[in-house]
Amino acid sequence: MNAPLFSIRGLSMQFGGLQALDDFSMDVQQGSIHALIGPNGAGKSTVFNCISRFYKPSSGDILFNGHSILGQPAHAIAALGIARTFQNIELCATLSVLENVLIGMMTRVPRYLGFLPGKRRNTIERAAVEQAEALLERSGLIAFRDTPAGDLDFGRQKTLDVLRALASRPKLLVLDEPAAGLRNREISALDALLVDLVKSQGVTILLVEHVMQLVMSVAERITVLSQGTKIAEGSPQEVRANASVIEAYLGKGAHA
Amino acid sequence: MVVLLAGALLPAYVSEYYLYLGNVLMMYAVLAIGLDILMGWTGQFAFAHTAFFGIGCYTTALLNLRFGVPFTLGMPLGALLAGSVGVVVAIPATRMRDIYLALATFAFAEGMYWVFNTWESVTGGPNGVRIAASNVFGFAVGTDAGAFPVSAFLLAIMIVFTMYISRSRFGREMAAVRESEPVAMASGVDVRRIKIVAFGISAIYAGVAGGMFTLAQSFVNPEQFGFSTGILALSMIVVGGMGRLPGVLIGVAILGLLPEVLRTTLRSFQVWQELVYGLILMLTIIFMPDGIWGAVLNLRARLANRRTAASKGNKA
Repeated sequence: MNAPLFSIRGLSMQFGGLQALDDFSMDVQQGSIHALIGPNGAGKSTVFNCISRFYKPSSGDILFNGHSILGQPAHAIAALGIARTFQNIELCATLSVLENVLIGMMTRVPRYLGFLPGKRRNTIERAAVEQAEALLERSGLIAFRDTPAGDLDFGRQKTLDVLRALASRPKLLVLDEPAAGLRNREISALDALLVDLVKSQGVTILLVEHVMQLVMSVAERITVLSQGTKIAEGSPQEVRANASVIEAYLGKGAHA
Repeated sequence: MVVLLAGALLPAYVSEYYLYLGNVLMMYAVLAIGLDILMGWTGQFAFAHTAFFGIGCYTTALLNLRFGVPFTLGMPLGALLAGSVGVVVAIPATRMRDIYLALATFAFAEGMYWVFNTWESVTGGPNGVRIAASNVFGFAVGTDAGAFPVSAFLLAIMIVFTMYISRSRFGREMAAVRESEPVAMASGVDVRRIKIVAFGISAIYAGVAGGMFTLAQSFVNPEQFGFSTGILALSMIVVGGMGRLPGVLIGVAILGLLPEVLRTTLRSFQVWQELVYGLILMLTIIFMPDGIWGAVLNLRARLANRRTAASKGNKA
């Protein structure tokens, strides 16, 4: 196996007396869709917040391309090539759908864009807008190009969140419960979008997810977290058959 | 362009009173645009603007009066000082948000108001100081007619600069900070840095407006930089439409001209002034939450929608 694109090494996190994460490790291979699942309160969001630098872990390390990201401020993570989405929708609600995607592209635009000569500025702006439109086209949001993001329905807002993250052309896309609150039809559309992304853009995806349906159909590898520790890891088939996963996830006596 | 042309031609044709009014409006325009950069664009409800306005004004006026520093040097120095103080205030202030930010910056503005009032050896205290005629490139400017083209030139520069910022990546970064700090941060925006820079730029505009004040006025006292001026600037951007340049200019024109119009029609207007302002502000917030310009844009979008809907209907 190649060196992993992204790895978590012995991550622990304590909140007062609560051990939210205990010596948790996982590796994400380049070009894969890797899911991190677990029942409520397992520590998924804690892992997520450590990755996006909202929390500082008590111990352990997070490596991206072999370098620790824990010394980086939260806003520098995007420039490294890690993009994230939000579990509870976070959008620029009064800005148009297109503007939201353009905000995601920020790190790829020259800082003093407005002060460049008109011709160069127009070329850069037009290229950015074209790329944003291509993303909207692919995901079926192009009809809502100029709609304020806050006016979209829930499913489309979730999609827009993914597009905004994707616009930065990340190497790693970390999705925080993208399927939460979506209808089945919307989940299948999201499935298709994710698979398409990995194939066409080579984006590596880490999916932190609660909804089993999405995880089982798209993930190549699944890591299961329960009460702050890793209890299983493997292909969807292996994880589905794992007795301790069934017990932790669905409760004792449940059948998958 | 229009502003520059007007600045060059109007003084020859228009009476002194209208020139005075024009000067005041242009000064308020620069003040309000600066406030809008911080409030309307970056979404930071800070109330220290009048303090920076005062710093710019006193610096320009006193450098001229005491040391004979010409306007062309004194005004930029005043703006620079205002901007620097703005950054210094922003460093602790940007750690706060919402009501805490509003209160902390309001406290700073009141503090500066107190300084203007009590530092008598410099500012002349409540009695104020005389403003000497400004020296602009060797020409003495002490009248409204003389000040008008200079004000127009400054306003034009500030408007052009504003347009450059809004097209820049910085403009998009400010919008992202206003709309959602988590999204901004996840998109690679250094939220705190953007807030501090926006604070500084906003204070520079206020400082320039302070310099413009010294052009046409012959006297300055701390009352100019009290709470009511801050509320007036805020009302201007709220009524016109926050976050959009045309909106701000509309707000400046309406709230700047209103007292003059009412004074000539209603004799006892002074008594009612505060009430009328409050009423306008309330009606705007209730019926046009995006301001007059926002309402215009909304209407235009709705008409455009209806037109496309109608044309689709025709085809079917």
